Amino acid sequence: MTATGATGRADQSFSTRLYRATQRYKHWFFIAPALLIILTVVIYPIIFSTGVSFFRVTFASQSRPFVGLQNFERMLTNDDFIESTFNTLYYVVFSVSGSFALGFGVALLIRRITVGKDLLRLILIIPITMAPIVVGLMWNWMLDPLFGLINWFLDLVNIPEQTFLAQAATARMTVVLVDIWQWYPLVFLIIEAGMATLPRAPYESARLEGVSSWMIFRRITLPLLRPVILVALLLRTVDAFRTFDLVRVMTDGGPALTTETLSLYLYRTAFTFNKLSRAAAGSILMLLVIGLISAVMFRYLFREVGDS
Amino acid sequence: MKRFKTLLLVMLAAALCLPLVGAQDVQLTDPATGARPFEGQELRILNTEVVPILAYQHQIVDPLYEEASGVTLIYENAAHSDVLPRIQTTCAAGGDDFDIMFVEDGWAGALAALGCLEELDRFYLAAPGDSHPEDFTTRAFGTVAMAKEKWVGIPTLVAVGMFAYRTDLFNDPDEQAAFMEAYGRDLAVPQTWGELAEVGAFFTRPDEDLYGFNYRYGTPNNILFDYMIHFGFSRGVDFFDADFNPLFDTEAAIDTASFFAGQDVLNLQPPGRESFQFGEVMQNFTQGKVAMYGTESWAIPLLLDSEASLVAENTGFAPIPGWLNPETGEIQSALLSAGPAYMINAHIPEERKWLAWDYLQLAHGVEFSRILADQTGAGHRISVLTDPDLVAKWPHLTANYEAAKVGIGRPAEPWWPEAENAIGRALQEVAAGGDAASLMADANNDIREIVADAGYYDEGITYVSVQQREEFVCAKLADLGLEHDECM
Repeated sequence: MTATGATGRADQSFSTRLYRATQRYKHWFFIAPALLIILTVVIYPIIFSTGVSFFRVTFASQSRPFVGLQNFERMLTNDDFIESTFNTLYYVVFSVSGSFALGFGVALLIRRITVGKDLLRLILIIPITMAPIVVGLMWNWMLDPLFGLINWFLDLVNIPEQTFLAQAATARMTVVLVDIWQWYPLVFLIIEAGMATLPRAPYESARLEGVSSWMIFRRITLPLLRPVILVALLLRTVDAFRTFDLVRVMTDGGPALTTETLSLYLYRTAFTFNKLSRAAAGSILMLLVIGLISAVMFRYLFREVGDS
Repeated sequence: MKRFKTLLLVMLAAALCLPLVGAQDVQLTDPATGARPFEGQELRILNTEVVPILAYQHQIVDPLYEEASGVTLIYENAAHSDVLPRIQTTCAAGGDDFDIMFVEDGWAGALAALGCLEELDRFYLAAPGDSHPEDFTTRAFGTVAMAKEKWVGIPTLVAVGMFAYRTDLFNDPDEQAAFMEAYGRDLAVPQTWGELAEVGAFFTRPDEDLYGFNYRYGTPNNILFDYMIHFGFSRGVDFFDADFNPLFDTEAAIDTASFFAGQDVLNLQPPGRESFQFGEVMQNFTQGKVAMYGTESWAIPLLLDSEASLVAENTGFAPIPGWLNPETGEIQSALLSAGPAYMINAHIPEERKWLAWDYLQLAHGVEFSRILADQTGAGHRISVLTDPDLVAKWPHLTANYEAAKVGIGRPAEPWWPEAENAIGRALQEVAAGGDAASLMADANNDIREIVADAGYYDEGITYVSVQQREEFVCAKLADLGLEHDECM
């Protein structure tokens, strides 16, 4: 009896310990699959690419000599890398600000609409439901100087045909405008969702005190929406930085490199020119820039969330 | 221990003999005997149909092969600019996703360096079928089917420069009279660059939606090709000297760039010319928007197809215009010869390699090529280009043959795609209004750096000349027990 009782206490003690341990570490069990995937497809490739960037590696390399920072140096002094970096920054600045302004504006306007709101919302988000390759092909046809819809309209109002994608002066902005067209619905959806959660009390008080609509927007709506705005900006910025497909389809980086983004340039360097380590160095530099911008935005975002 | 060693020796001997036994037993598809040794199997081909002749091969030749062999062909068609990255990555990983791949001549060096390309000698020696590698001009075969001294492909086409023009416009008495009045000479298909500009200006009538001609400026690969094929070689431009020094900063190269990508010539082409690629230039001609079209032989089937071209019945072909040498008064012309071959993926299992060879020897062999040429007017084998019946039906085949005999190939070094990109970008910038001299000089320096990076200068690697390529071909044909008139 005594022995059995001792064993029982021991069992109880073991099961208690097991239970407590399970409780203490159960969150790891739940996040393990996601963590494993992130480690495999995000963290490991970053570490691997970082390692590759310090060696001289091609597909055909028999030897892979250590070259230190040479790949980074070559990238930073390469005219094409510098130009594609400039193109990417141009793309990010104009595409993000354009899609944000348009998305925000549409979100504000749609609040005032009372009839057919759902249908309008559905129509407005169509661009975001399309694959970027389809969008690129569609706009390529519409912008065609000889038989495109846009030039047909221009011809109706006696404007000579325009070669939007063939001219260095217009190609970059044209691609940006198409990008804005495709992605403003994302901003619109985020901002509209944010607006739906805003408290009514501040607005009612402001109206009772006779505050103008502009001041309500500036002093109430904008501050309350700031975390949502930052999320929208962060998503669009990261997305614009890694643009590849739309540019590939519309211009393939041309004319004369004016629309070549970093992603496209790095893809070509790695997989067409067989300079894997140099492309890895470029991608690390790109990652650092995106990381820096994201960190600044995250800092603002969390500060705003904390304040609110 | 002794028994073990004996067993090991027996196994080794068996392993060594196995390929020989296999080779001797090999049987290929033969429509004449009805042999279908690969019946029921699937052959996977990585392809691009950006050039029309490949689409016509797919429509005309492939069903014949499938019917004869009982093999199902599965195509993966990628955009032209995606094919090389796709092959390089798959091959570097030892992938066997496809059995046969479309390989441009300029890529063969990079892929051979990766060990992606299966040499074809042993297949031919065991079972030649209808392959006949001696049925190509040595220049074309050396450029398209070989990676230096290795035979790795069966050409799917041999691209040589062609000049297409609208016969209805050139033969129109009103046009002829108007041209005579304007220029004081007969309207004729241009033979020199100067005449090209003159006739192009005559036909450039934006109000009528008609322009003089068009070339490709849209991608580095395309612009470099049209620069070299239609203008560069005839002006004496070459890629490298014997020591691999790039030659794009020479007076000839800069003059050619200034002419080809200069505003005077660009203005004779439809709007959007700076971004024209394969598709746009063909479409402009087939829709009747240009009077002339500097192209290559791969475009012939589409240009003559009345279902694809509004001007198919009024399309004529002529040699491409050359450069009038002011010192000698002679018209210099030279041609680029290029094109893709279908090559066998070295990473697939042995039995699939034989299936791939079966397809190549028959679908791209003599008999099927003749069928293709008969129906489309496109051919690249000597037997087709010199066939009296076919020549009577398609007179341009004679010009194709002459061009294929003298065509110069582009380099096929592992780093060539990057060099091609550098010079192509420079040409695009010239077309965008940049200064040709400085841009070509910069591109030349970039290419020198690329060559230096590859260790070519340190290792004293020399440029494979046209003559060396021909020697490689003749040596290879001799190895295979074949004779060729051009090797005598």
